[in-house]
Amino acid sequence: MCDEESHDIGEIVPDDHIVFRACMVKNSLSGENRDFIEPITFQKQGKKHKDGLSVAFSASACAKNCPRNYGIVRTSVGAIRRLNRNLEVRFDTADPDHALIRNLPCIDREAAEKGLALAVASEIAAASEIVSSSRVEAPTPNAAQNTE
Amino acid sequence: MSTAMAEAFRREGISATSVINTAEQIRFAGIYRLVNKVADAAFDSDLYESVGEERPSPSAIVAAVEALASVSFQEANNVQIEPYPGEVGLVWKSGRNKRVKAMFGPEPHSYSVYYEQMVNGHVVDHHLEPHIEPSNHDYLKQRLAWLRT
Repeated sequence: MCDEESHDIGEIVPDDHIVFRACMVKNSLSGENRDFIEPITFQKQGKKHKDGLSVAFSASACAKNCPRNYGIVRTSVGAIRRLNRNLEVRFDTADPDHALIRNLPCIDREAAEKGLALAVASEIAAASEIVSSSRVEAPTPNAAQNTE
Repeated sequence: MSTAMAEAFRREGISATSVINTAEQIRFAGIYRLVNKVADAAFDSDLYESVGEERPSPSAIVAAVEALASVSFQEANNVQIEPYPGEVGLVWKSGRNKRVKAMFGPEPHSYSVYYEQMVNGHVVDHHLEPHIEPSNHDYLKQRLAWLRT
């Protein structure tokens, strides 16, 4: 697996936490009503995601980190662990709103790892649900202050 | 996109000034439509995470078009085109449990075909057949036949 970097990797996130991931491309969701989560949402490129696949602990944190999103999906940490793919969700010690799915196989590797990356991405997508099928605006600084 | 189309037409030995008979015209129109379909997706910036991501090469687009031209009209019509940095993916699904994906990367022998079957959220069967000869679509056709079963 291709987690090449381990900066700011914290403890394992407990199973009862929910993590959110931005739909980074338009075809992350498909179907007439955009009600199907495509595996591409959870495909990890080793070249780009050197420390794991990013997730957040809220939809707003997700939108803040990925203002150019095409929706947001969520899954439970327990559901990811129960896939029995040796995946871990770990806190980011530098950002309390951010976590990383570690040990994901990479799509940009040789055939065996690429095939596994496609399969595992399908399973995480199947274990996830849609929070929003359209763009979620990043919270404005004023809105963030109002919720504090 | 125009480079990919020019390459497709060069391979087919067709130019704008060719005298073509009806059968060739139909074939030309079919290829033109497939090139447009693949190239439209390959250059759609909404299908990439960032503007700077590598787009598929003309040869990858042409290889994807050739694969689409080898399958049935219905399969070519139902395909979902999924570009990925430097790569074109062609995806077919049967419900939510079976999926076939043909991938065409930048290298000459980067044509591969993946299939998977899911049961209760778990992938119970999957395989990626790598390094397929670009002109050989037998494996893809086998997998598409499996998808229909």
